[in-house]
Amino acid sequence: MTGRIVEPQELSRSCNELLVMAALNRGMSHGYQLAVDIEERSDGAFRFNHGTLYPILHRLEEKGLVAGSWSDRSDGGRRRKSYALTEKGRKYLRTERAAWHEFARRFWPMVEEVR
Amino acid sequence: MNDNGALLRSLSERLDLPHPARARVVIEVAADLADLEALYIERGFEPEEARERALKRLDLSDDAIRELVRVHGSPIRRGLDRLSEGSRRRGERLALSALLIFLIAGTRALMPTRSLLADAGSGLWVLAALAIPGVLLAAVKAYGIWGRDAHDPLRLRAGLDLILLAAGVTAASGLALWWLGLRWVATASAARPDAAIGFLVEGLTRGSALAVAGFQAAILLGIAWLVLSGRIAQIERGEAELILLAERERRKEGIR
Repeated sequence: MTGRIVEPQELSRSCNELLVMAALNRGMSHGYQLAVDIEERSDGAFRFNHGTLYPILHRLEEKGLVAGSWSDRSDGGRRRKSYALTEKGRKYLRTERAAWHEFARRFWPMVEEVR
Repeated sequence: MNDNGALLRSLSERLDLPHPARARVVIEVAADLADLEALYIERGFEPEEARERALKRLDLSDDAIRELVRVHGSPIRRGLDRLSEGSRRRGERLALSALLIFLIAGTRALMPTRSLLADAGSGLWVLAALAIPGVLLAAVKAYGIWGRDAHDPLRLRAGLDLILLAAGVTAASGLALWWLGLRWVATASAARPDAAIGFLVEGLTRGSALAVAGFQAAILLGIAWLVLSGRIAQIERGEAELILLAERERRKEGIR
């Protein structure tokens, strides 16, 4: 019995979404902070061009998986948009994490055969 | 051209979206650009290098732009945004003006009269229950815009389309109640054929009054949405233009 598995053709999109949502799972964040956070926590392995982050965040927001909100700055500067994971997003994150586990479980035995 | 204003202007030009959606993206990127630059300065970079780095990291690729357009560009969303921005094309502006005149004239001709409300009977409460949340939401938004002079377009826009939803549901419910009235006429007439004419007159009077009341409420809510979303679009446009202007001034000062 196996659950959903990540399809190879959706690897890139799913990987980016999962990274962003996992970062948001640690708390509300601004767009650029997410990119910095992901890069630093992965020791530079996942280096997002921040520009690619907006379509991901806006798509997740459209699906109701994350919620964007605007906050005023205490120093009177420009308002910033913050993102937080919704309850639906948390459920989706758990499902996707399981799907990636399943993918890895199937993927590694095939690759490890290579000598 | 390597300045924040150039990036934001280029972004604004490349986003093939109605102005409100475009302005929202530009405002978000502008804020992140300033914060990212500040972060790099905090980490020890010279201001000019910090700006270069922030610009490089935040530049949106063509793929990212296409994806943003896809996310924000559903036909319904585009239509609503275009309608709310007060359409800049001449033909659209004329069509919208004609529609508004028609709606206002139609609403005036159909203003609820005492007899209409009396004819509608208890079904009117159902319509009122559906329309009132939309009216309250419109009142809250109007108070935010004109009463408190709030200028946070995202907060103002949040939930605004629920007014349209309330309008649609109210109009559809008016029609549904009319249909139920006809069903009642048919059933009652079958049971008492001698009183069929009386039932028919009563059913048609009540049903048509409910349908008209539903449409009146929907038209009024639709006009409220149009006015509110037009004003919010103006605020969004103003904010985006302010950002672009501020960046241009900042660039000029840098050159001097």
